[in-house]
Amino acid sequence: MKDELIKRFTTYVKMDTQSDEDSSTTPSTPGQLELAKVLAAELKEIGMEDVQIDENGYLMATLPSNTEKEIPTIGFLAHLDTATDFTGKNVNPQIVDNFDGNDLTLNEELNVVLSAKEFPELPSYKGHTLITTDGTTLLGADNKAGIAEIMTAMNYLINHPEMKHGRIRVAFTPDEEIGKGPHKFDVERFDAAFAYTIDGGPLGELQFESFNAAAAKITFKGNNVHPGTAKNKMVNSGKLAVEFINKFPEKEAPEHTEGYEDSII
Amino acid sequence: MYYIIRDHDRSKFEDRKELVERFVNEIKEKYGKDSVLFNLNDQYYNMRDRIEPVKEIVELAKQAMENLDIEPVIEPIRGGTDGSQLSYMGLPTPNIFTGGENFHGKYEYISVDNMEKAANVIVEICRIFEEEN
Ligand SMILES: [Zn+2]
Repeated sequence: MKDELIKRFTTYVKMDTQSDEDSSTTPSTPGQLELAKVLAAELKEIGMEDVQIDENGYLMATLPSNTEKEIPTIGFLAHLDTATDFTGKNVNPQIVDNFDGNDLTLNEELNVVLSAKEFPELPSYKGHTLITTDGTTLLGADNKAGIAEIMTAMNYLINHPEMKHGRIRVAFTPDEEIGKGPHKFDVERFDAAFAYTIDGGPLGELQFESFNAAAAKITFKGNNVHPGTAKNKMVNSGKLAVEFINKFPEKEAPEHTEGYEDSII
Repeated sequence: MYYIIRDHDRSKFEDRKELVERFVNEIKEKYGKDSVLFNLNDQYYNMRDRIEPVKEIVELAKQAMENLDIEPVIEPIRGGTDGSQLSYMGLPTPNIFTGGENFHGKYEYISVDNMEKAANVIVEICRIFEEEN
C-alpha cells in the first residue's frame, strides 16, 4: 500500500492545481481539470464505475456494493486544488526513508531547515517514511494526500472482494481553498447518505465542528452632511472607525489575524 | 474594513452579529445614515448542528480508528471546510486526517506511514458499516 500511495501522491503533487480567487470560472484554474482527467482515467483503470467529470470539474465515481444487504451509500471526498498562500508550481517532492528524527535540511542553498525547535512534533516521526518539499514550494498534501488515500483505499477494496461493503461514492472537487468547493456540488447526483472529507492534518484528526462565520464589510464615509447645523461637526472616516472600534468591550475587540487584512470579532 | 465574525456557538454568534450591527447603528444615529456603509453576510455555520442528529457517522469513524489502534483526536476545525457547507446542503460530512503537517507552506510534509493509516481507516469504515448493518 505504501508504494502505491507514494507513487500516486508524488504524481499528483507535481501537477500545479493552485486555485485562483480572482477567477470567475469553475474550476478557477485549468490545472485542476487536468488533474481531474488524470484521476478519472485512474479510477476507470482500477475498476470504478460511473466515472464522470461534470461541466464544473467535479469528478465522481462509484464502487458498487458487493453485499446482499441493503445499506446506505457512504461518500469520500477530497479537493483537487492546493492553497494560494505560497507557490505550488514545480513541486519537487523529496522522499526521506526511515527518518532519523533529527532536523531535516530541505534546501541547503536557501538554508531551509525543518527543525524540531520550530516544529516540535517532528522527532515523533522517527522511523517513518516522510515526503517533504525541496524548500521552494508548498507540498500540496492538502489535499492530494486525501486523493491518494481514497484512490488507494478503493483499489484495496476492489482487490479484496472478500471484504464486504455497501455502495461507495467518491468525489474529487475543485476550489476548496478559495471557499467555493461546495457551491456547485450536486448533492443529488452524488447520492450518498453521508460522507467524509479526507482533508485533515495529523494522525487521528476527526472533526465535525466548525465556526459559525459571517463577513462584514464596513465602510466609514465620515459625515459632510448637515453643513448648516452647528451641532453637527465634520467628522472624518478615520475618526468614525476609531469610535466604532472603541465601542467593543476589551475582550470582544476585533483582533487582527496574521496574513489577512480581516479582523476577527 | 472587512471583519469576520465567528463563534462556535450559534446563539453567541447571533449575539455578536447583533452587537456589530448595534454599534454601526449608533454611529449612524450620531453622524447620519450615510456616514457608514454596512454589509453583513453569513458565510458558513457550525456543521455540528447538522452532524449531531446523525452522530453515529462520527462514531463509525471513531470506531474505525480505534480498531486500527489510532487514537481519535476530536477538535473543531479552525476555518471553514467543504464539509461544513456540504452538511448544510444535506450531506453530513465530518473530516478525517490525511497525515500531513504544516499545510500551505514550504514546511509542509507528510508521513507515508500515516497516509497508509488514513487509507486503512477508509477501508475499515466501509467494512464496519457493512458488518453492523
Ligand atoms: Zn484542504
